[in-house]
Amino acid sequence: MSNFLAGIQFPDITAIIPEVIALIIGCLILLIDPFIPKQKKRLNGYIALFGFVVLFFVTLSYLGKSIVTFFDMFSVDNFSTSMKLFFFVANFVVVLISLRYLEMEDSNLGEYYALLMFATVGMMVMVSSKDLIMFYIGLETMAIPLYVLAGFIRMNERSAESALKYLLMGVFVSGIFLYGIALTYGATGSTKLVDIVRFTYINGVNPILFVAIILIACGLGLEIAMVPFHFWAPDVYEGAPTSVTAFISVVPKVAAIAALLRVYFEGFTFFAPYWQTVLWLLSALTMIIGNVTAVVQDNVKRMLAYSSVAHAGYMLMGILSFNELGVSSLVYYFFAYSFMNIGAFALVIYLRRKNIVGDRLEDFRGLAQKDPIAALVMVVFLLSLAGVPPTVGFVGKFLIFSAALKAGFYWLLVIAVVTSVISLYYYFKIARSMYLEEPVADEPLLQPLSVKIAIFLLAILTVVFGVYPTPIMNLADLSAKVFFGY
Amino acid sequence: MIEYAWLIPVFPLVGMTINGIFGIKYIKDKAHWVAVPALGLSWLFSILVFIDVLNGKTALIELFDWIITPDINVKVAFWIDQLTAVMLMVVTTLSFWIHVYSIGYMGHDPGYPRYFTYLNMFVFFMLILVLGSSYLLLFVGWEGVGLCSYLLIGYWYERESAWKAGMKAFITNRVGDYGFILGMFTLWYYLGTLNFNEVFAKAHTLSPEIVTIATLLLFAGATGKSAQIPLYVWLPDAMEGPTPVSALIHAATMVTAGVYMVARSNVLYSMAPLSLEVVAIIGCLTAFFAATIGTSQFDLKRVLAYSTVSQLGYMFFGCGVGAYASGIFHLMTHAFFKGLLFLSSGSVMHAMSDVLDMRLMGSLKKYMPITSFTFIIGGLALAGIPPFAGFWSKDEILHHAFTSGHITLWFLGTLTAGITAYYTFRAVFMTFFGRGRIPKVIKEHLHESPPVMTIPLIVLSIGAIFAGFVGLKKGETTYFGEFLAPVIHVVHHANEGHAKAIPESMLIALSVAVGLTGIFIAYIVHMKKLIDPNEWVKRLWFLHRVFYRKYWVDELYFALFIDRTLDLAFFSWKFDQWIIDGVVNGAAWISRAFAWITRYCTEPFIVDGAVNGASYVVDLSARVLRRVQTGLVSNYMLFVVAGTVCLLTVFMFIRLF
Repeated sequence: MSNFLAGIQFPDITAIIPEVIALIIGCLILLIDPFIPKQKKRLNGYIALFGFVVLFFVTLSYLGKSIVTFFDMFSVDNFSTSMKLFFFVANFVVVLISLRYLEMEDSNLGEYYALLMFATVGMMVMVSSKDLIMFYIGLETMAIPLYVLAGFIRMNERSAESALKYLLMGVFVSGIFLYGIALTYGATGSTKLVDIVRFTYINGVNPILFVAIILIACGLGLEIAMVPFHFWAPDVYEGAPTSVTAFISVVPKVAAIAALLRVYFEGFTFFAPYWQTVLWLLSALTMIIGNVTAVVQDNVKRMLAYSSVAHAGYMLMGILSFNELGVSSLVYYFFAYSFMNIGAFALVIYLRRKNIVGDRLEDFRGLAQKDPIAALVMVVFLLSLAGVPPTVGFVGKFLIFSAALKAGFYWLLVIAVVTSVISLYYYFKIARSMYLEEPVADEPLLQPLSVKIAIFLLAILTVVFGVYPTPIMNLADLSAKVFFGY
Repeated sequence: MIEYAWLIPVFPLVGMTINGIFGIKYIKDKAHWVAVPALGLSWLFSILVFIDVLNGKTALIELFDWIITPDINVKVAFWIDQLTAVMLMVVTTLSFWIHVYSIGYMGHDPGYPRYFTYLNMFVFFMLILVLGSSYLLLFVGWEGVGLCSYLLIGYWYERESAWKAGMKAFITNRVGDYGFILGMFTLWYYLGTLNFNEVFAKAHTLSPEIVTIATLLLFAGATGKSAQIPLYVWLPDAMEGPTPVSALIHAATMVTAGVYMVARSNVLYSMAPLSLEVVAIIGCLTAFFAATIGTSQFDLKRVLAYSTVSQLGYMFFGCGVGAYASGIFHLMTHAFFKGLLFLSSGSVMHAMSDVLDMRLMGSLKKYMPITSFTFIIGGLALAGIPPFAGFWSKDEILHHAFTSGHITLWFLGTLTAGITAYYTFRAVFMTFFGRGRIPKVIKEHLHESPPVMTIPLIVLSIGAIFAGFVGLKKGETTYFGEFLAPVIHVVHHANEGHAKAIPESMLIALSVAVGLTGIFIAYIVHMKKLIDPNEWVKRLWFLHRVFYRKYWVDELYFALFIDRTLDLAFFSWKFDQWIIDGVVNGAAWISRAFAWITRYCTEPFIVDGAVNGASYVVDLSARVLRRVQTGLVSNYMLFVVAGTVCLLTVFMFIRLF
């Protein structure tokens, strides 16, 4: 018995301290929620805000550390650490824009923040795992709270519909993902990335793995919202509460892309030319279809949904470049994308008022006259989304494009640039309606303070890191070193 | 304190930001409460930094990385040495007092916050210009002040002459900037860096031809910014801006940027004797020609403008004969007395309800004692009468010109000094003395300016009296020259013989005599009327006409460049109209015809012109793609499966072949 135990390395618990803290905060919110009177439910949100700040600093102390534990299934490295930092920053803003919004929707329940925490735990596991089964567990831990969040406004038909759609699609596609894992296991005898790469190194490529690679891409493709797995996105984005849409359109997408990156880079290293071509096709399709379809949308949330599909295409370029610049530009792009995309959705929340969701193009009409500063801030986000300097969006696109250029994907670059130009058109439909059309007389704007803080914060980040990208670039370079540092 | 020098430009930046964002809506006529204290702090910090530099400290403050690529590494860094410290003192002192003056002068202007925003922005860029540690950062400031100058010349943009003058200034400057950029590229190409200390350290590796080309190109930039031949034409027109702007930007600070640049690059210029010779000749000729034009103008501010061009010529003249310290010294004293003259003329303008024609003035001394007093002090300094500031610096330049063997240029410079004295006191006598020729309507409102305007006048006149004393002799050199010595690499004079032949005291006596003669002529012509100027104008009608029409340089430029550019534009337009539009229209016509034919076969497909084609395709495909978005989950799942299967098929196919 003692010999048996001696053979097992006891896992290094310190590696999962941030995950544990997040879990505890989630449970804590659930526990104290019943004792908070209805009109003071916002306290839950403050706990979550505080929690994300604490998590941020705890995780920050992990930067530079490298731990692989739990039998090579869980890894703390600079890539996973910076992804976690990203989650906390993005979630912090999401909570900020949710505080008042939930009250307006009359759904201010503590579960919201607890679910957000649990989803975050799932994503943290996803980016840290070095085992396909762990990936799957992380994915599901993330996805299930998301289904609930999408239907959080229970009395709203559209919200419920979007939750159901999301659930059905999610379950269906996770089956495909599992199938991919099963094939990998069948071919290599392990689900650990280390073993897979070792096996393929010794035994050469196995045709079954070609199928598995595609199936894994398809499985993660749902959360990434890449073509042809994007159909759920516009429906769910439109129906879900706007704060949840802001969340879904950014954070899980990033988590899934990060996971895909790790699986391909660390597990299927020797298949690089193959999955590069697969992603080439997917990325091209995603950019074209995302941007083109967005042109005819007149609902801003749907338009942003297609725009986020298009951005997924740009981000895939970062993976398929398969070089150091690709990874670091991708990490930078994650931050950039979160600032501008959450910002744009926050503006929709800003326009939420009595009987008006704020997501129709008409709701933006004449905003420049009603609230010039909000209109200006929206223009900043739109410029950034379209990739116009001096914003983070520009720097991000510039870096990703140069990574693809370095890797020699010229035609993909041509597609990316042309579709970027198309994107300018639909983004500026919003700007046009804000600046060139007369405002409609309707309910006055509520201008909630927490949303104001959030949009200003995001706008400042969008511009500041566009002009001075070094801090994020440093973090991104550290992350890239995980895969290419030696 | 020197390590906090980076704060100096931050204050005006903050002031500009606050006034720029909240000015028009919230701050309104209280804008000076933001702008003036900001400048006050800058001034204070500059003084503290200056004291540090006096105690022998210099510093390189690296702020952050700006552009980093494998080939380019540009840091935003400030370089503070003796030259920077002098420039800092000049810029912040003048800026602060002119800001104060503006409170009174611009008091009733509806664009008050806009004015202060621009003015703060100008100071910010000017400080970047003098603090920057590389040619690139200097260029940032260089372009920034150009922009502010454009904005402020065209400040009263409702006036056609104002915005036209703004355009003229901007475009003329761009011509010079073209040279400046090429000069930077040359240095960059051969040295791989633009940082001052690295460029100067590596300069000896360059061949003389390259240094000559680079310095000449840089000087081309300076001729634009500092209004030298052939690009001086914009400066007189720039007087369309508010008078404090003329004082700050177009007399004291921005226009001297070229001189600063040349003095800063003295290592390079000293390596290129040909360039130095060009600088000296251009400077001296500009000084002479501008002074002659100044004698014939009737607009008070224009007289001062030509005088500025002329004095800038002196500064380049000084640099060109290797006396960089004297050039900078003249820059400093000139900033005080010319700023003072402009502000005084602004005070006159304020009292005279914006009338500037000296033929409608006279006897103003009775009405505005302080202004006339300060104007006369400025005039004495400009005319180079001891012990006023201008005397010391101008004399030093002439002395250096003489000792370095530029006898012809020295003669021209001394003659110019006489002309300068003449037109300065012509203006003084016509404006403040003699018989009043003031129209009645204006006379009723005539008054001395409020203290907020006269106090800056008094402060600057103190500067105009005493600033020259730093140029007192100290052994071989002067106090000022000794202070700047670490920055300036002196050229050894080729011809020391002349210095021995004629003692310095003789030269000084001569130039003072020339100056007094100029004043005397002005006195007898315009004060005592012993000689009727009109008669002399008739007798020398040709000369007068040449001066009055400014040598027809503007007309020449119009004929040579501007009209030809317009011709080209007109030709392109016609080409576009006939050829390009013809092709497009033809294509559109064909497609319309095609559409007309197909209209009855395919009703919805009417192609409306060739240009709409692209957007139509996007639109159409978007509509088709939207049709796919049915909203039914089962359909979506079908697409997912179909997509997966397609991917698998396609890539299995690729694998097999």
